Amino acid sequence: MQPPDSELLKAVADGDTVALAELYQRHAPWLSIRLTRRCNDDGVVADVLQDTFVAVWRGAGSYRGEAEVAGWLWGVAVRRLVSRLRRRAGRAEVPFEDVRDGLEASVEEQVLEGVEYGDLGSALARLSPEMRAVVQATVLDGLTAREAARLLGIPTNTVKTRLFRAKAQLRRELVEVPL
Amino acid sequence: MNTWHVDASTLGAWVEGTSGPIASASIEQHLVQCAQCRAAVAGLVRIEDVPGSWDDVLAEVSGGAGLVERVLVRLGLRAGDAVVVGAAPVLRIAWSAGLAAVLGFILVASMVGDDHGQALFLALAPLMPVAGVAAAYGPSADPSYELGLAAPYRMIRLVLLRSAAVLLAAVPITVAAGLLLPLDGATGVAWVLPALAFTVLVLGAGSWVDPWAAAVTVGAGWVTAVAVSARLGDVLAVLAPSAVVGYVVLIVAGALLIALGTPAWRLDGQWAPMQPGRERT
Repeated sequence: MQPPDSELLKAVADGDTVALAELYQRHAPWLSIRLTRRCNDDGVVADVLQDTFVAVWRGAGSYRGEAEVAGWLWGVAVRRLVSRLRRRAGRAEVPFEDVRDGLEASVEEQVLEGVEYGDLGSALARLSPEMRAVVQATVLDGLTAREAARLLGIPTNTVKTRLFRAKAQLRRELVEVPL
Repeated sequence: MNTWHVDASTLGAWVEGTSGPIASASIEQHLVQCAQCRAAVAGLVRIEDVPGSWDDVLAEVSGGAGLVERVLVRLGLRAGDAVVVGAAPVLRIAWSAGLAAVLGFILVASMVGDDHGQALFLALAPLMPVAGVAAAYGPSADPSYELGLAAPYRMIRLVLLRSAAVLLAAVPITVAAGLLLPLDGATGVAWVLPALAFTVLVLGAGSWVDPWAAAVTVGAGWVTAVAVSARLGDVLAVLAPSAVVGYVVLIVAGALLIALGTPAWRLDGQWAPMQPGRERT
């Protein structure tokens, strides 16, 4: 069987470039697609991917082994994307259209307890594109409000307001409606 | 627990960018926790279509690139190539083996007197450094053997690149040896040039034709040339000044081919790690 990602990451922490190559082979494809959905400049995505794996090389030792390696990688990659876009003083060229099961833990739990997937999907689909973008950046991509603001090119307060409204709308549609 | 997987067409749509926002978001959340579906994406995306390259990552992390690598990059080698040529721990063994082969042949050349001996020597000499380097890169000798395997290189390319490096280093050494030792200077020293020329030529040609075919063609051509000149009574004709000019031209041409080369050297369409003996797909 293939060694799990966490084993590879341990080997990378010990300076094993073969393990890093294997991680690259496993994760670069999906990371690149997901990054491309957020920024359609191949040059930027290339830089971000390279930075990400170099960061993994240097920071493998700091991985605590609590979360999925894939999630950790995405966390590194999306933050690299944010800082890369900020350096360029531009903004993501692809608007954030895709979104999904945002919501903080408590809300999410309630949703999972009593709501069918289709309802959540349609509820999210009814969010305005602006609100969905904010939900995606914060909840799905795991960015802070400030990071999301940089990525989307809008003020931090606007991110917070939109997120608040989006949650309220989802809560109304998903939780308060009798099932 | 996790028994649900994204079906192939949905995943394909996501890779193409045609899945809707809700489906995309759902897929992305699923991918983070499902190795099987991530592997499916890896099967849909050719690694060379991923923006950026593993070479650059490898060059960066092998970082603080040593003197050798930086000089090689300066000379126009791609960063990834420089790393595999220069990979520090590897270098010692391969270089010693390569140089030992080179120097050994100089000694043999000085001892071989008769025409048959010279012909045999000349026929084999240019092939020896490559053989020496190849032998030095077995799993037992090379601590970074696996690095070589994991990198998306064909093994023959790796061996040729490193042979070229050894031969380049061998030129001044052989010239010095030729001056210091009471050798038949022409034979003892000059064969390094065709050796270098052939190595570089095959490396360059490998961007367009099968490297093994190129190597066999060049090798056969060389042996024929040696045999013919031996027949004609002067085996050393292959190292005459005019021929030497020819080798220099070949070296330059080979270097140009390398510079113009495409990454056709990569494993065809796949990034599967190289296995010994599997070079020819």
